Amino acid sequence: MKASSAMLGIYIHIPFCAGKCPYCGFNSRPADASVIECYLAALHEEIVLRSQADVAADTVYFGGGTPTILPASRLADILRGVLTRFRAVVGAEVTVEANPESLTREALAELREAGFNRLSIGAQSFDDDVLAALGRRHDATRAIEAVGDARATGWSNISLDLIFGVPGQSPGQWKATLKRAISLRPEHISTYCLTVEPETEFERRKQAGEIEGVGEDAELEMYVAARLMLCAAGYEHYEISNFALPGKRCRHNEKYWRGGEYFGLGAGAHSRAAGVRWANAAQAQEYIAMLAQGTLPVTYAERLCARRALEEELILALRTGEGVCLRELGLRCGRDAVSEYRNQVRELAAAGLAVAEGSRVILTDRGLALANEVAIRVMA
Amino acid sequence: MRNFGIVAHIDHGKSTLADRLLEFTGTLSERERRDQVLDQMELERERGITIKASAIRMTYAARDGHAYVLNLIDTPGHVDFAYEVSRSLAACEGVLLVVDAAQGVEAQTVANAELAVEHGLEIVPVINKIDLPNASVERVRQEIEDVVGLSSASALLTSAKEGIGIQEVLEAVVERIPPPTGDPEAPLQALIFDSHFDPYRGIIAYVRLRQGRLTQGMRIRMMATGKEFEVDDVGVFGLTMKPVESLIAGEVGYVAAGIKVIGDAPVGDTITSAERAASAPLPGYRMLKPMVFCGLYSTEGDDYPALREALERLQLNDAALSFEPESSAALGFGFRCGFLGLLHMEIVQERLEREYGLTLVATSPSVVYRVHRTDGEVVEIDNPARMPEPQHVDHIEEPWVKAMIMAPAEYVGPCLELAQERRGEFRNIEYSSTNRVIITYDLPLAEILLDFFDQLKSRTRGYASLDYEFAGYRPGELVKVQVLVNGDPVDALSFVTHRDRAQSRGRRVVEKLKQVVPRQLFEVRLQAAINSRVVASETVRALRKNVLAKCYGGDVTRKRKLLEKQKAGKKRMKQVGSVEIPQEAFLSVLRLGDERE
Repeated sequence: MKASSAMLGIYIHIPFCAGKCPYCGFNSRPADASVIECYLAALHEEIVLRSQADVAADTVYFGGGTPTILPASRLADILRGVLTRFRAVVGAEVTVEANPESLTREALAELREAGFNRLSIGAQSFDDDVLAALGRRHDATRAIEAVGDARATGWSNISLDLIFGVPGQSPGQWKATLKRAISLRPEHISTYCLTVEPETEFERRKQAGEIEGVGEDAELEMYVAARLMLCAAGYEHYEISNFALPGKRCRHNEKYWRGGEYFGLGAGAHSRAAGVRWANAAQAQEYIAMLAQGTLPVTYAERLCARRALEEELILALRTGEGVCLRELGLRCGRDAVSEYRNQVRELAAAGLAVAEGSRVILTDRGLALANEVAIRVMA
Repeated sequence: MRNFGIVAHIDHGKSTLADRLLEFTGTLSERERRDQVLDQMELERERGITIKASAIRMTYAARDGHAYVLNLIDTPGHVDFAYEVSRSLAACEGVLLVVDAAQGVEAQTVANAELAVEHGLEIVPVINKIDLPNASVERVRQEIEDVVGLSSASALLTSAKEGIGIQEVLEAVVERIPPPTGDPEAPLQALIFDSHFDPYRGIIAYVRLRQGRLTQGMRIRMMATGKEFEVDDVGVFGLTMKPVESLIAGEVGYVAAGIKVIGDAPVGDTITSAERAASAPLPGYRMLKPMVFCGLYSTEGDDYPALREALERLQLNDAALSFEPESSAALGFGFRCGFLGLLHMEIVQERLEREYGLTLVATSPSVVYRVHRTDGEVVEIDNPARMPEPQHVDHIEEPWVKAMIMAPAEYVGPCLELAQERRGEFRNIEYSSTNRVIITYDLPLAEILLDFFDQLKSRTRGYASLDYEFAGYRPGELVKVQVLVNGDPVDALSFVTHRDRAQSRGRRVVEKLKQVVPRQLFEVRLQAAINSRVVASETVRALRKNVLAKCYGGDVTRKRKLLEKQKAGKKRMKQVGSVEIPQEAFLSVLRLGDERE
């Protein structure tokens, strides 16, 4: 599959971690060294097969799992492969996700040296009780130190991931975490409301009645608190779960929300380019086996018709702070989005979920908190 | 020749015994054997109940050296279908009264035995399931004597399941049930005791000839409707239908005469010859009058024509089902359907969904109220939504039934209590020597519709049985309870109930609704009102948060699936004003559970 646009995003999935967190629904698991070696070889093979010398990439994102569970030198090797096989532009955003406990000063320096320029730290909370409830392997002090170490080794674009709505967490605890995060002045903060995902330890505990969600009212209170405190501190709320200082939005993630094209490499990674979406084999073993036979590890693909592409982009773009300009979106997808969605927009506005300014539609605060309801009303 | 039926309380082994008789007489070879042949509908086999009567002819070489033609006429076992039982019995000279050796005599055993006596039939008691470890033959004998009032000395002992005592049953049919009488040369009198619809040949009427002869090509007249037809085909029932040249007095068989409308050859009518008519019809014909009504609506609005077609088809085989179009502000276009009882209603709904692939919303069932208006007019109301405004109502009458409850003596208390709670009027209580009681109550039919049977079963640990018959109309202190959603009355949720009960039922309906109405973008107020006075109110809080935290590359597909599911759930709901109400809400009025507070 060739990418058609000028600027491509590259996502690299590292499906390993030190131990499975009880709330994690992601494609990641602890693995032994031999599996990791086979996986990295397969990943290299996929990078080679997918290489697009004629297309420029302007964002690269290493996610997981915990990419930094690998030695920095191995991550540097992979990145080198990516940068040579896909033509990365000058000033490309190159992000790596990391957990506080897996970050040493040496590793941080080496990653920076290798060309990574954006660090996304899974701090999750600055409250030790909450971290314990989440089953994390670090404490608040370690998270704070990690930010300091990153600054000391030259990282100038840092993002912190935070979680709210953790069983037992009070709005007060959440506000204290926000306050601490602001004081560290990261360029970017993501705030995720905890979702109890199927087939996780949290789900089992919830079924067994061992844990209980904080409830809708508390979740909403925490969501509003994040918005108020972070905006007051100069962060821009540019997507439901994301805040950034001016000019520091995550350009890679914006591709997902704005109909951009991206290649996802690694087990379970999703791609979208030239009107097609596809996904790789989710299991590392299957992924490795397919590449060992020299075949692309794709197990799912769908062609997005103009109508569907438009609908999806609309739903995703409505989650952003800028909302969506229906005229522009329509032009891009070759459809008359303004008249196609006239009734839905009117309905959303009447329900107080959105406001329309010309052909631009922006969700209200209420609409953002009810983005799924918005999506259902937009869907055909 | 012998014509006989088998009657029993539900689950006492009637259909299994019938199968054994067919097997023993070689009517049914081992190869053709599948359980409960006579229950032809999938639903009948699954639920273990007989819905439609059915007939089959067998030949039995008796011990006396003669071969006998035996016509077995199977009957439905449920109180809803009492009329069909009665018609089937009219085609017989005798019945096997099957009683479960462990369960003993139950309400429908008594009701069926009474029916058989009314028809002047020879009754042969059969104690079945004697192989069960908890079988108690002596106790059951005693009950047959005490409760049913039959001599049990000659009761047969069988286990249909194990094939024990089958030949004795056949011998008893030959020896004890009298052969049919009737003059083949007299004018034709043939009773229609059942029918089914064949798409190619029209109505196939199941008949018992009392006198005369029915021949292919003859001109016949239906005595109740006066309609005339030419006979295409007559025949007898084997495992399949076998054409014969003619049927004569005493025989049981079928007749096809190109009859397209079931109303032209109703069950209970008498067929006679158009040229040489009998002077009078056989007794017993009456119009089947539905007792229970509910609205049926398709959840998919555009399935309305499909629902009509399905109902029309079911009606071809089920004369007791009635329907007419109705529309509801909440539910759109649907049909007001009439049924013999709750089971009949459930069966029709299930068949519509299963055999015709429809998804239905049923409104809560209602009886037919007789409303005396202040202007002197009397109107029959089968839909609470049509109840005249209170200022135009002088008084209302509702249907009552005479109910017979049978239970072990230790459950007398709970039975009386339940009947009392349901506005019952005590009539009688009889104790048998075997520790069983028969309690007779007059009860409003509406109270029986409201989970009475479930309650009876649960309060007697399943031991009580119930039978009832219509016992006329009586005035009652009845009021209509309206349910309002955000101030708008929802006709499909309103119901009529006794004044004393109205407030508490209104409250319970509203509480129940609160549990099933999902939260929406705005607050939803649920209220119950009597004569526009609100007596109960609940609020479903507005939905404030429904959002996915993460929406990146791989999440898009997952999210899409989740949203599609939510969207589909939304589509299955019915829009009432701006409020979306799920199907189960419409049932909540019915399934209120225990009325005790």
